Amino acid sequence: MTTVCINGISQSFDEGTLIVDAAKALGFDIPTFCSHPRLDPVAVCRMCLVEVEGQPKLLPACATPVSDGMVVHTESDTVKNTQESTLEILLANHPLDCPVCDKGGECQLQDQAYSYGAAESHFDENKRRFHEADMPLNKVVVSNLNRCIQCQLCVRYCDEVVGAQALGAIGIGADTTVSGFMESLENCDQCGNCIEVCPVGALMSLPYRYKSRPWDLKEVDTICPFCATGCQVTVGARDRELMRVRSKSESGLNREALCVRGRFGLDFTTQTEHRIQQPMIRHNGNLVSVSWDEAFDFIHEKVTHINKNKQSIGGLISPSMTNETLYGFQKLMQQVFGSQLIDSFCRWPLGQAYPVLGRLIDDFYSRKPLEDILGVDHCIILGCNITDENPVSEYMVREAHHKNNLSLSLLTTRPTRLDRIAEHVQRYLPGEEVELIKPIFDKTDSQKLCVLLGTDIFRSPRVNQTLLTLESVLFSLQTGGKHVDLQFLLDRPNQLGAWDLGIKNGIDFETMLKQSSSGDMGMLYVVGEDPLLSCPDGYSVAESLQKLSLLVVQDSFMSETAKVADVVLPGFTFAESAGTFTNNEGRVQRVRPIYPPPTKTVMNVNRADIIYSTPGPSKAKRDTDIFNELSLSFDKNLGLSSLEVVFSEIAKRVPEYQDIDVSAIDEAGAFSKNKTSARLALSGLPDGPDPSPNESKTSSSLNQCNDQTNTTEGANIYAATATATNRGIFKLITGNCMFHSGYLSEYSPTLTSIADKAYVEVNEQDAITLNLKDKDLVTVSRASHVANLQLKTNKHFPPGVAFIPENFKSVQVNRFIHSTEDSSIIKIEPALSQKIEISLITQAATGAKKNQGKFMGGRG
Amino acid sequence: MFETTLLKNTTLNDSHLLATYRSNGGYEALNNVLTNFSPEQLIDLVKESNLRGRGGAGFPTGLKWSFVPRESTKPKYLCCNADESEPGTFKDRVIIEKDPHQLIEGIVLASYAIGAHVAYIYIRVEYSVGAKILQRALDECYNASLLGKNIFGSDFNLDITIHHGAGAYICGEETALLSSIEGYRGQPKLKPPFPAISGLYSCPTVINNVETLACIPHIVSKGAKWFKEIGSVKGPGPKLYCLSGRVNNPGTYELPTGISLRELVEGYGGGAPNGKKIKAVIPGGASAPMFPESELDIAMDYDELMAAGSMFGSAGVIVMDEDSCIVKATLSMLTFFHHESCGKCSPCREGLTWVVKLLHRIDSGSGKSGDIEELEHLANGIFGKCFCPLGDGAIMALRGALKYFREEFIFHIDRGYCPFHKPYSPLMLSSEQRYDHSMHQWH
Repeated sequence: MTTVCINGISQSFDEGTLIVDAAKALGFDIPTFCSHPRLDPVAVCRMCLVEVEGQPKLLPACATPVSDGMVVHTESDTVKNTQESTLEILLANHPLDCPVCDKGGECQLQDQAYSYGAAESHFDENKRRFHEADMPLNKVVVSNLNRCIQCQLCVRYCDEVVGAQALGAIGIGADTTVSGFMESLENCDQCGNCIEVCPVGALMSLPYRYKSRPWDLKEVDTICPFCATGCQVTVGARDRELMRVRSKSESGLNREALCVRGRFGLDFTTQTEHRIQQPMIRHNGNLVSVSWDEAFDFIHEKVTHINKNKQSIGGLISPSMTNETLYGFQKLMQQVFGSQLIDSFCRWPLGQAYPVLGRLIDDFYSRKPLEDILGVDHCIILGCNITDENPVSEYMVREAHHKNNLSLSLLTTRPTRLDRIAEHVQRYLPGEEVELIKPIFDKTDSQKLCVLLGTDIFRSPRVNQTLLTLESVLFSLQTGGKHVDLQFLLDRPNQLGAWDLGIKNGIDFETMLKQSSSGDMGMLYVVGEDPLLSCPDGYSVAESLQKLSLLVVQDSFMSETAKVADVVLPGFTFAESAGTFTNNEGRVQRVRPIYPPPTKTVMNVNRADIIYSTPGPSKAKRDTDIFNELSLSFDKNLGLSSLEVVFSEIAKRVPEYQDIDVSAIDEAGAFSKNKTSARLALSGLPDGPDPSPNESKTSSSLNQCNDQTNTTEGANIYAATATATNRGIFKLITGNCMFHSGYLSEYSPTLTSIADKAYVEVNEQDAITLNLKDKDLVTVSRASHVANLQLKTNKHFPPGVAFIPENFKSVQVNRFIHSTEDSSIIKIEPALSQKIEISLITQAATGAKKNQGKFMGGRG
Repeated sequence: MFETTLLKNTTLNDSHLLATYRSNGGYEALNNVLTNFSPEQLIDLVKESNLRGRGGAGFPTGLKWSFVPRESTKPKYLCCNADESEPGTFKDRVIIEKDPHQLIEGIVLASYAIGAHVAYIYIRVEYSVGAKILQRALDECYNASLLGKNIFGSDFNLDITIHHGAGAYICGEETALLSSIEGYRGQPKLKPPFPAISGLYSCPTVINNVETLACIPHIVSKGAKWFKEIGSVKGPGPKLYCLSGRVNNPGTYELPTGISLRELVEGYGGGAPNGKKIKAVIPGGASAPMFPESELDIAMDYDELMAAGSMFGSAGVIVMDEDSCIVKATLSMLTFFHHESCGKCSPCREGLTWVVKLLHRIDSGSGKSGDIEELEHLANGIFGKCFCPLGDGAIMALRGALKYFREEFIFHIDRGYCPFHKPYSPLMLSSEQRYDHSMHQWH
């Protein structure tokens, strides 16, 4: 502790506290431009100069740590004169075009000029002008260099936090400008964090341009729905129009940082063209609008019939739904339909792995801030392209590496941006991860480590073995006295919530499909999910679904599954719903409605012979209200009346959430807690499969693995052991790309303007072998499913692997993945036609013939 | 007559060759140190000699070396600052081009003292001839096993690499020089940490000027006592002075420190040409405030010049005679500093832009009353607030001119023209006619 005297007040502070922070703690604001809590100090704007007794010159408060006995004056005449003259100098060449500047009203230069500046300027010369019109640097950033005050926040943020190094300074002295390579940011992450940190109007958001003044915005704090990092976003809207999304630096784990999806992707909620407006039922092969009562009656009638036939009823709900909706759905399934068949996910073959997943969560999951998790010595990231899937978590890993010397090991299929700062990088082909997990743990002897487990692990057909191996590794580390923290890097905002609420205890979707195709299942109720697009082996899903006698889809947008449903119920979008999400950290955070559902009616697109809506006012309802009313039509009452009521029920039934009071959840969120009883059970004797056979199994594969790696000793990145002969045959992997998440982001005009085409990414050398190069058009095929896509080559990609993002609906990636044979083998060859298109050679997937019209919707 | 040491070899034929240097006792000091001295002893010797840095700041060299943490396991670096860019300074160039081995011997000695095994010579890109000569000298040394592994059979190894600058004045500032070597933009870094603790690639680093390093072999061979007895007490030693401007005998002179400015300019320099009177002299490169003729009796010594409001700097002495326009000279210097400002900190980047605009207006005859006060107001806003010494240096030059030659500025503003503007001045002085440049005619 060091004691300093600031403006006559003495107080002790921790060693290394900066003067600016110490002064703030004592209530003295020191103005700054170039200082940022997440960045190393540079002390270039000179606004924060303060007087320190005994020092010949004024010292920058943002870069000078306090020292014992230091006497600081932050409000002396010298300091005030300096602040005045620095502002005058900064404003000399600033255009002062505040009335036409988007930053006006929330500009730091403006604010500080009012607070610390002189009333008048002595400057009487011509101002410097770099250019006349503002310059768009990409689809989301527009720059006006005349306003720039060269604080370099954008450049430093882009480098130190985002890691993209897309921005830089060009020229010297008064001619310095900030821009991207070749004065463009076309190829950057487009995350817009540079816009957020810019203290003036030099970098501005293009979608928000000239739309509003900050004081006219109605701002709502909510949680980003694009991945489970759970960033806090502040959405500014006017009427029903989304203006912009920003994030507050003082709250949320993301502390102001957002990725491109969070900052620009929320405009998908403003889409009305693809919204489901009214309840619909299938009548003569067509979907026709009906009243809610008619829809419920239709369901009631069918369900009675199904019950008579002793067929089962299944439920599938998207993990993008709030905890309240998830809970309500469970209650509906159990109490109204008497069914336990619920799954929250259909993309991953998790069925068998649910028991071990549950144990991992109960025994090892650390429900605490990611920042604390990263406070260990070593971090192991398993099976996740964290750069694309969870960008903001990646920022935090990078920061921990930069500030706390956190070392990293990566076991991923796709290359990430963390590769260059990681100690060990291991690529693998899907399926190989089981054998590689233990070796990656053996590479570190750190006493404190954390494991971040990504979605690639869950996608793999060997997920069960992988999780069992991981469990035994974690168990042995823990019994060996090491500190291990485990957290997931999930890609749907409330996946952990869904699992916590018990949706991992039901039967997985794969089993439901089997029941359906064997005729044992009569009804499937799908909420917010699109199994026709997302479930592996698209053809057989289509086959199974159409064997159902009743397919109910409740969604906000017209999904592919909704197009083939018997009943379609209009729900709320993310922007209209209230509730809570549980993020990767186990933090329960409030989702708040941004604006009410649309009242204006938009004619839905008519396609082929399917009329899925007729004009009329929107009748969309809150999902829990739909469950309520449906239950009433079955003469039951779920009582899902309000958020508070539902959550208090959750708190009563779900031990993880028992201490949480939803009305008391503030900006910091509330952390759920692990079930302690389970942990005790394990520390006694594990009640799952006996870990010892697992251990012996993994150790044998470990030896095998070590032999492999020893041959390439010295190389940091071990090449994946690709054995497939490379005659255009690739192993397909999929996941989210940087600019999209799930299937809804394609409705975002901004995100689509940035990335509107699906692509297939392969190793550069593989492409050369096939006589192909970057940006070539290629034909990707698997049996009868064919897509013409743009090729993207990447020299860091493992050989033999091809990546196609799952976010583009038209590609229907799931049809490349067959569950029966070797799961995901595709063929890539030069494109036959030079048009980017997705064409299906055979329209006739076996089932479609039997029920003409019902299955044509998704094949436009 | 003062016996030259640093420039002694430069008059010899082929003075840049290793053979010439060795036949005149070159590398003997190095041999002696590597056999008989521990690094600590060498540092003590340099400390005792009272050698102060010749680059401009005048920091005691031995003390700087002693800051390098000996116990640090990180590699240590020595950087020779040969980015001689201060206007009016060309002393290092003489050493580099005429006696490069003197410098190399100094670098090896300094590296030995701080425990560096890699040294960089950061040379300005304009010194392409010097860089070639230096590279040839380095090659000669490698061939003669004076560089590389086991120098003089000792277990001391050293590699020297020449790094070419890219034309920025600011890279003469030590931390900017390090940024430049590291491949970043040539901009100063935040201090602390000081380079001696965390410099090049975050390792302990010493940055010394060419002339400073060239002094080391002589201190070793002739002793600290010899060095201390030359020139002024607090900053002794032989010193290279660069004389330029309106002076009869411009050039580089080796003289003791503490010599009077008048003796240097009028004695050695032979006064202004054509019998003109000397009006002003800049004692230590463009950022050192100028003195009027009346103040020339001051001693060229670090502390005395500092006390008189100027500085020893790089000892680049620029002479202005009675025909020189101080406003134009000031504009010229400030334009230089403005152009060379790296743009990192606001006062220097924006402030100097403003200053130059004002000076330009005064010089072109469109000055307004109050402009001088404006300049002074601005100078207060810039001086002492900049990130590195560049902005302060520029303001010192401006303040020096305003202090002694305020009337010239007032004249420019009041009369709207320059009295020294040669082609037109006789006419203008007599009739106060003005030349309209746009019309190309008098009116």
